[in-house]
Amino acid sequence: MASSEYTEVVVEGRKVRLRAPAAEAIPAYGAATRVVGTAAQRVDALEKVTGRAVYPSDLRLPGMVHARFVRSARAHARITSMDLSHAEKVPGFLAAIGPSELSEKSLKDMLGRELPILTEEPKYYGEEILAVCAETDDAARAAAREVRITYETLPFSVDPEERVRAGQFVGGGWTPTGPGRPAVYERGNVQKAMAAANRIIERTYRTAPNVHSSIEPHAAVASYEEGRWTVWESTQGVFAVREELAAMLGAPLLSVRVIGTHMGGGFGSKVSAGKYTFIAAYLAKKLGRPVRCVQDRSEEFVSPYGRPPSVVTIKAAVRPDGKLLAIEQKGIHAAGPYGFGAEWGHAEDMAAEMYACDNVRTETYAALTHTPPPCAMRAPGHAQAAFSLEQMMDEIAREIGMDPVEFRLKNLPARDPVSGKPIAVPRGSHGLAECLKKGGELFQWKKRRKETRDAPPPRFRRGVGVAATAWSAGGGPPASVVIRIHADGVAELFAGAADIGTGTRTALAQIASEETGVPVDRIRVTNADTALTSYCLPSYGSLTLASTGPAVRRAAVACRRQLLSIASDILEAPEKNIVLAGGRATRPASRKTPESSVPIAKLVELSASREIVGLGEREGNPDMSIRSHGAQFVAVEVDTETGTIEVTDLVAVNDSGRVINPTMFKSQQYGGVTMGLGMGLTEERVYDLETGRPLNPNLTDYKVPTILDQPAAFQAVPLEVPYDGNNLGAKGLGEPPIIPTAAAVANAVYDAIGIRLAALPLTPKRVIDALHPPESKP
Amino acid sequence: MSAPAEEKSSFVINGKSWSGAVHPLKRLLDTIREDVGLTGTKEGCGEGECGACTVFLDGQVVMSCMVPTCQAEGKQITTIEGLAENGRLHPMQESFAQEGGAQCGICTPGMIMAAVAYARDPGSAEDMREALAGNLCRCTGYIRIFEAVKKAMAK
Amino acid sequence: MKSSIADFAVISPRTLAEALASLRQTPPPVPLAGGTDIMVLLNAGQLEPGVYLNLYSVPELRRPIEVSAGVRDAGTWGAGGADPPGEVRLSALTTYADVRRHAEVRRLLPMLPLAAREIGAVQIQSRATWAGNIANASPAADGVPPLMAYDATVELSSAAGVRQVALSEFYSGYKQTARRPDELITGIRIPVPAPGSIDYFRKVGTRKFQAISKVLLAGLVELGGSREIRKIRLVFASVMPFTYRARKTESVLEGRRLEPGAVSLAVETLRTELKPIDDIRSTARYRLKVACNLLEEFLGTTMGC
Repeated sequence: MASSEYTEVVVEGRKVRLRAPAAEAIPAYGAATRVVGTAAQRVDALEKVTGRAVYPSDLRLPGMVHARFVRSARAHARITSMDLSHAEKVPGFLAAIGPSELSEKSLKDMLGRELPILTEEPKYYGEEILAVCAETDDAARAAAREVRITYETLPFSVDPEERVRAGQFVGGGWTPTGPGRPAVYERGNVQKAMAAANRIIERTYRTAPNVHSSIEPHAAVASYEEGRWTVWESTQGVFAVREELAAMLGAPLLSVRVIGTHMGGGFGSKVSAGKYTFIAAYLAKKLGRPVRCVQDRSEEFVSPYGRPPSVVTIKAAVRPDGKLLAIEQKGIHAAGPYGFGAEWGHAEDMAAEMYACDNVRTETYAALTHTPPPCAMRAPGHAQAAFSLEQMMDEIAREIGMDPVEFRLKNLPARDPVSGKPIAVPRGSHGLAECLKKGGELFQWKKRRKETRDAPPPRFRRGVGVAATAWSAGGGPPASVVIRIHADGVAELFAGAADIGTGTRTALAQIASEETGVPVDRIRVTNADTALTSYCLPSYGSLTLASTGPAVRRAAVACRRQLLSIASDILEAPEKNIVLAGGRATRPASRKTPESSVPIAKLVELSASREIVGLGEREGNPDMSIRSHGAQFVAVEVDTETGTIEVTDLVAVNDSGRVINPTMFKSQQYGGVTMGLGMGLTEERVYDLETGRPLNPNLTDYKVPTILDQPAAFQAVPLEVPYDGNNLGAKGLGEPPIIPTAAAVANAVYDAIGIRLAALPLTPKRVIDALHPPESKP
Repeated sequence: MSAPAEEKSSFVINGKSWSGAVHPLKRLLDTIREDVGLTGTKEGCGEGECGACTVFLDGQVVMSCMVPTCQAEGKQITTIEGLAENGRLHPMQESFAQEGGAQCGICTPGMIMAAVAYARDPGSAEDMREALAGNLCRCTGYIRIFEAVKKAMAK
Repeated sequence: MKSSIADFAVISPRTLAEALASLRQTPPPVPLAGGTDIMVLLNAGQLEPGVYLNLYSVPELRRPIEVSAGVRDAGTWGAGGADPPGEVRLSALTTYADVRRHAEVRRLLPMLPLAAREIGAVQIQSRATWAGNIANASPAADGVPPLMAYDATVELSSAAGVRQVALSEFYSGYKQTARRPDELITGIRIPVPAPGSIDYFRKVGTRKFQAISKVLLAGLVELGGSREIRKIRLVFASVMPFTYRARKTESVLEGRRLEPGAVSLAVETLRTELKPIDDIRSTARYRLKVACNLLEEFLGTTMGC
């Protein structure tokens, strides 16, 4: 397949189209693979089950000291005084850094918007004002507590709608508009289409602020020696952290080494260097001692922010035969006081790109609220947008008396409605259609839908619902990988990608093993270390495997060729007759000769280079719209007396092309859906409207799902719709599973009680309020 | 402000005696990680909600972030590092590895400790799910964990 | 931010007498049992610096659960050859796990293991104590409502002696209890209910299990031969500022035959009796509605028995 994807860059004001590196085509996998597609054990499983895996928060370096932040106790204020005299008296106190010392330093988001590291005018509750450092973590916390700050309180608002009414917003999404103008996307003529339509529905949906809640808090340990920093960071992207940190420190890129081998969950929150990273590195130089800066659980609720809340009003027109005519959407989301991170609240994409619809207009307002800046959180924007779009689809289908699955199938696009590019759908199948059909079959959608309709309403009411998703997940360059096979038959694989728990290390080892014949347990994966591995994007956007995987295959193929060449001479057989597997090169038995084989270690030993090295780079993608697809079917039981919703059955079907490891693939589905159930049913960060203070910055009252909250019947089904856009045939999966869950549950709740719940989470209180509206007697 | 009032503390951890000067209210979690130097026991929340710091205290399954070190005085503590015997993994560890029970791995040590506690005393909870409900995992959706424990218990 | 540990001191007495003597100091040390509240507050920087009294060091406070037989001539428990009910005594450091493991307590006081299951993870059940749950006086305490429904009494010891206070008299307001600062809860005595008593325990939380409740009802009813309500206890958690026994609703029901009319009368009474709280976990309106629904469910299922 031709590598024809371009990236557009600006060089001295001139737009230049850069081609992806040209590369020789590697044939797709044959009918049978030996290692790829098997449930290989994780390469780091033993370290993890024995407690030997060391995470940044575990690190203890000789002489290491501890840093902690002093955070604002106001939602908006000017600091009138800071008294450090008591803090300085805490035994073990070493240093304090204030905003004036760092006035030139800031974090930058993907669009270059800035966020101060420390501030004298905090604009949200919990914003960092000072950093203190002490010999022990206990002393650092005590010193932070002893800093006396006086504030002049300023007006604030944590309500995005109120801020938009006051004109305090910027455009959301990836096209910044500057202050006071929403981001607008438009195609066709919505006004005209709406005027001509006879079926129009409109509703406003609200999603709640969510927090990533990775079990390892944000953490960095930094040491500084002879002009160089080494930073151990719990991160999704060591190269991003290196780049950002070097810029903040004003130091050469190579003076910073970032190591992120093990990390305890990210979900979008550990893509960039944090304030804690900078403070650890800055203090390490200043004090000449290693510095550890790890956040408390309560701090995880203010820094970073997580998924910002959204208010989406969606209006759609439909023809009686089920053709979508027009979609109009106004989306508001919180964007914190600086607009920093506003790209992560966007909710416009999904309405515009999911279904074929000629007339679409979206307006997105990023409200400048006195809340922490938004941060990418698993399927940023999409998880919010699906809640409105996929409920709207359900509502329209009911309105015109059509099955919601049929209705979606009828409106699937053949080309990307936004870019106009063809959707990568080889052999005429559409991933989403396949997911909807397969899921419907497994769930017995048609039968169960009828059952719930016919059931009389007892105390416990049952309902079923469906929702769908599409997510751009083709991956792509840059990714380059080195494989070195040594004379003992052990291979080393060097890849920059972080394994954020998805199983990247293992999947890459499987891909390498498939070509080289070196068994997975003889492949040592070194990853996420800027000093040892090549540049790589952070593990975000569901792009890791589809980006790095094909580069690994290319590197492995390069090794394979060298191995086969030697083996061919030794085994006196043509290369095409030799099988590399199980650590050996084997010439199968023929009519004339018995089987003969040689260990790979021997081949390496006999090679001129004494080490087989393969380099692989990620080729470009085809000029198409590359999407992963998914559909979820759920059944709920609603207790009309307590308002509790139980999800009893759930079927999740995902098409992400080739499955490298079915166990890990399904775990991603289960994990994503579970986070979606949390978003749908329990997770909400609550603010005190009087003070702007978060009321539940803890896992006691911010409830993430436990093993008991899982549906009794929970099925994750990979669907391998063939894809040939990269040499693996794999697309991304991390994000898609969370997207449709909350909407699917809400659709099922509607089916059960006949009331559409338009605000997340779907709490018992909201159910009771819906069943017994407030004007009635409780 | 006075210097920490540390006191001599002794207990047996993973079969080895340990003693040192520790403040009596210091969380057992911190004593294990900082003073004993075993970091397999993780801190996820410090509020008894996530279970990452689960250890055994005289055979009882506890969250070490909620135990003051003075209440471990003279007791037996087992952490994830103490489960393997004579270099052989505990069947629960083996099963978590084989069944894909660990993803990012940060909850894994605590999860395994809770699972081993249940396997030793299935009467301690109504069922396996309840026994594991004090341990949060944000990656797996718990399904592979459930399968891993089931398989280990069937052995 | 966390308080510095240097601001805290711990006393580890060897005997109860020593512990009680230490409580006469001013200010008195704060009793520390399983630590499931105190250690969380300490880490959150919300614990008052001072001196803490480590109860774990006192063997007398760790006595096993005692189950005593009832007295034959107790008369009130009716005729027949049925075993007379007795009493269960929990000690100061009896944990939720201890109760769940105790077969006899499970049989005699079935609401206690149900509450034990609700208070938190098994790891917390290993540490948290019933006495601590009482002393902590949280309006959302899961362990207190069933104890109160069973007419438990709290044994309060001080250097001056021992006194018994009915648990239903123990709370007077938010975090207000009958315990004097020099007293320690050394035991909880729970009379075993009359044979044939029907209990009801239901908690509605944010999540299934291990979530702080939005509404909890522990109920106990003793019916006479013609289905008249001899005695009823209705105890709510998370609805009022402290664990609340709905005496007004109880008194409307006592002496009445259990029939649909009585149920609706009781629900109407409860609706005016409760003045629910509003907080982050739910609203007053929701709590009132659900509290009434739970009462209706309790009485409804009892009628069906």
